[in-house]
Amino acid sequence: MVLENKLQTQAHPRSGAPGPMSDNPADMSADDQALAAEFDVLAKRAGLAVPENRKPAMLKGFKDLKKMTALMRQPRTAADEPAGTYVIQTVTRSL
Amino acid sequence: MTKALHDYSIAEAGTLLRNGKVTSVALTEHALERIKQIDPLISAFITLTADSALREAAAADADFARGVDKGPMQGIPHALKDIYSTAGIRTTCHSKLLLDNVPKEDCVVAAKFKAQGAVMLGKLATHEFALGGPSFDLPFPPARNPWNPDHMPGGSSSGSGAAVAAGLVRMAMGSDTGGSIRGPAGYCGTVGLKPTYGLVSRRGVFPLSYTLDHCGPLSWTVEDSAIAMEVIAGFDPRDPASADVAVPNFRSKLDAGVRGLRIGLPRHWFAKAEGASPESIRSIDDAAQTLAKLGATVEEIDLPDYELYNACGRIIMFSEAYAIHEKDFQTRPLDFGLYTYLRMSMGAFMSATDLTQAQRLRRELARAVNDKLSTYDALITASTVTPAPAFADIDPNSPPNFPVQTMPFDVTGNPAMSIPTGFSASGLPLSMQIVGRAFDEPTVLGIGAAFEAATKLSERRPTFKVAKAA
Repeated sequence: MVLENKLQTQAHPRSGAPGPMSDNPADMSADDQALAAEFDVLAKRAGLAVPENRKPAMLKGFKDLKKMTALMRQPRTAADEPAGTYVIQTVTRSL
Repeated sequence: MTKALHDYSIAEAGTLLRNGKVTSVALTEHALERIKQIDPLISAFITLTADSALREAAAADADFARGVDKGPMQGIPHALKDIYSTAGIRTTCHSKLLLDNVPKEDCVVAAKFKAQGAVMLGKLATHEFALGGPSFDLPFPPARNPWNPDHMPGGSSSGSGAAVAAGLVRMAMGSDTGGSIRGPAGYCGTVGLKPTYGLVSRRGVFPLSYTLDHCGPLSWTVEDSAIAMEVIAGFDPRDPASADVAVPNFRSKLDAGVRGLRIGLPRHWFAKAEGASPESIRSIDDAAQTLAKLGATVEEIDLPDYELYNACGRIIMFSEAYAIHEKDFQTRPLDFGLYTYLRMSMGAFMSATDLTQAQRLRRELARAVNDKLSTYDALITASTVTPAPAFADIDPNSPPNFPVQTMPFDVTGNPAMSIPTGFSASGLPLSMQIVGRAFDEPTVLGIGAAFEAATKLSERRPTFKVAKAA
């Protein structure tokens, strides 16, 4: 089994150059603008009103998160089940 | 007494108590005096329960006098991270949101210590909800490193690490979801044991991440942690993650040595890690040499990249943590500290598929570690990869990334214990972690005890510029 670490070689599919992100659209690359737009949609869906002064730090965190979630996509088959597969005995043992 | 009371191990103090050479009240008064002198420098305690501690100490002494012996923690002072619910004593999680929270019931761990007649000195500082810190925008100040208060003690069990290192308590309880026992243990120069997932009940401890949370001790010596585990380990059917297994004999291998053991070393994880200090790397290499001289076979091994474990654990942690606090994030977000907000809110930005993929990877990563442990008795690797960072190095607008490599064994659930390996040139502790097979805490503790005896690092304590330290 070979697990692939794409962190060093695979940038986010839509990310631009690495580095701190401004929240000023004029300063952003096209990829960073797309990321910021995605962030806004997800924040709205989550019911989060993100204060403007927190947005640059949040965008940086979101960019790092996208890199991490990309790493989770490993080559595997349908038989590769998650950890913590549902076991009815442990759910009902305290009854 | 041949040494100061706080320098007696739990076992030594227990012998003195049973021989009538010292009382629990004397141990407790000594601890309270040290806390009075030293805690203003390190802010380890949020809530001090001096009156109830003295009552508990007196009750323990009365029991000893009547020949009642409830166990090894009877009459021994200890403290709890302020996410452990304590009946009638506020449990704040170091947060404005729980400032007035006074639980009606003890958590399982607190109840077990109480049943033994242990003496609870108080509740300890933590990062907010075990995630957001260290920061100065919370209701209580962050704990500081006793070796140099300008430096962080690590987190999130920050007060636990600081209190033990400063000799305020011999043992304090912490919790570990991504490294929150082992990080502070490493930065503060103490022992910190994250037990096997499910060995210690989490019931009544405020959760950060259900499938990653572990409860465990920080202590001055390996034996101290082994004794704490004797009290707190055990199946709890009301904790959904509790493991229905026989409790190991935690002290059974403390004198066994390491001769004949095979120990794996995934050196590639830390040797080239970005930001790892040469001193930290050298101290782990030296530790491997020490174990080899003691008779172990230490061999370099390969494991999947560290970043896979780190990313997998963080996705699971943020997702579960955000689910717990979702309502408050939507309705009162500014009541969280800034770092808690910035870290935990990331859980809102991932999909269910992201989490499922992380859980699929989790199974693969756990199998990789345990496959190695089918041929090695234990692993050693970095716990902290630098000495403790300075508060001055924190960016006030961005949560600090602690230089640790602890997440892998939260992901896999294997027991992992941080233990001091030496000191930096600036006098700050360095550390490694010892990792074992699931439920094989005795081997982990045994290797730690052998290393501790060979290096005698526990003989060195931080010093404080106070008028008179007890």
